[in-house]
Amino acid sequence: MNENPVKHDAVELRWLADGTYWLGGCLSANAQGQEVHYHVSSYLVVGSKAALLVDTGDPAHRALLLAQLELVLGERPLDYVFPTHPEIPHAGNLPALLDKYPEALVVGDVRDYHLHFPEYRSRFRTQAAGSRIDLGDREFRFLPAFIRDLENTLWGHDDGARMMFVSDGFSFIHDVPAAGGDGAAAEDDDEPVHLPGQCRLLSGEMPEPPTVEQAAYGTGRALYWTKFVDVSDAFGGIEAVLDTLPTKLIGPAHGNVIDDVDGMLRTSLAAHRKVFAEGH
Amino acid sequence: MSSLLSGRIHRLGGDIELDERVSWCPPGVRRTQAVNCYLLKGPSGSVLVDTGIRLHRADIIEQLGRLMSPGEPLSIVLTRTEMECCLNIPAIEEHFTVDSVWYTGGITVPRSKAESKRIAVDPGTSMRVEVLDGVVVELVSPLLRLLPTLWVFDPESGGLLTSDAFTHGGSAAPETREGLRKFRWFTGADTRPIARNVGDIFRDRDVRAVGPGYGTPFIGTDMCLEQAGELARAIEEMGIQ
Repeated sequence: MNENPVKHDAVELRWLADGTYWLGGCLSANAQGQEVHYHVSSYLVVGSKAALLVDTGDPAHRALLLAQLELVLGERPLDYVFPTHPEIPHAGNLPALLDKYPEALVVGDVRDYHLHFPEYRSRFRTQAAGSRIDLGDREFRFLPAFIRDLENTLWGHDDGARMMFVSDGFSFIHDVPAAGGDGAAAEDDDEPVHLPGQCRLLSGEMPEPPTVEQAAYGTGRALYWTKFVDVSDAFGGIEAVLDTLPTKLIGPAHGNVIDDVDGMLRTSLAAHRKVFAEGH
Repeated sequence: MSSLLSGRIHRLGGDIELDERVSWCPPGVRRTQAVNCYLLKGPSGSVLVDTGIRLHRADIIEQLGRLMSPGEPLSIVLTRTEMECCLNIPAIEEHFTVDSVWYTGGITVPRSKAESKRIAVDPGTSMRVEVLDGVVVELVSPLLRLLPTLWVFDPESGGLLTSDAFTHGGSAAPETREGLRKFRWFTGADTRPIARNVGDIFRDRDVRAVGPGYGTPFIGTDMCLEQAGELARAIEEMGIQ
């Protein structure tokens, strides 16, 4: 049994590109003497006509997220909320967002949401993979989630910032805790973690690029099933999308924003192969 | 609401329309499906395993009110920290005295005013835990999972509460495979260890009732063993061996 106290650490929002912002916060815990952080990120895409939020963040960050949105949007409304899938870190703040922005619509694969938030069912709009929303001077495209847990998961792409949003995909950590050693994360942690001070760094700003081992540690813990499945085919799909949609940034919900797309693709694929080779 | 096992375990919740709006619905299926949580009555309090979907919030509060005495201690055990398991915690806390919330997974903590108790059980193993004074349950960590998952076994009654597994009950002609829609990753996996784990869990325990999170329960030792065998077979058939 582990009764780690978990804190909710506020972090500043970060401007990523014209009209694109990194919001949300981190959860933190004391893992065997070392403070570790865990991203629960949201991303705001602001077009000339409409604004869209990717993932709602964790309810622990509700006030923080609403304040961040107000800072960026001011009096302007939020038009769309796109929870990549119906889990608490991705959709848990839907009620607060829909109350604050009464015209906002929930978009994406909205199966199951009527069971969880029946009072808002009139505001759910299905967007299938491949469909697009016009935000004015930019377009948001819904993509299949090539690496996911729940079936009703989608990824997204904003052609304004050339950024892909990958939900639970591409999570990685930067310090692999030595199991059982000093400063080790708990053996039973299932989430990818990072250290204080690294919350808003791009992958290229980290002291060192992530190694395959570090990426594998996060991948294996966050996506249990990948221990049983060779996901090489999924990476083929990701590369095909990247061939058609120029992408400079990748935004995972639970990891640092990636600005070295080619390098991280190689690292992440190698990590998945390592998890598969060692995990089954 | 109905009794699952001799007044010890009660099934709470309600029905949903199982159709294309539900992610675990197999293609072409349209029928109603039960979505369940379970109340386990102990000598000095009760244990609620999962809290049901928010669509059924009012019904679940009413059902709990009929089963619990005023001021009776309540402990909540979450089989997963997914929405259908934990979104009713705040409403339940408004009406009942919740001592603690037990959950598994990473550092994502369910919203609760009560003491949150994180429990980690290695996949393929189990752990006995006294989740409320006088109520010891065995928390089983199955290999059949998407996210960190616990099955809750009550040794006193033989009830095994299986979260998002064994969810095919309730249709006119139940197809075991229908309940595996959520686990489509099996089609790319060697599923033999997962199938074996299902068999092991039932071989090592005297399971007299299976209570899934969705679908109707299976009652009786022979029925449970038969269903476990069929589920193991379906898991194995889905995989690439």
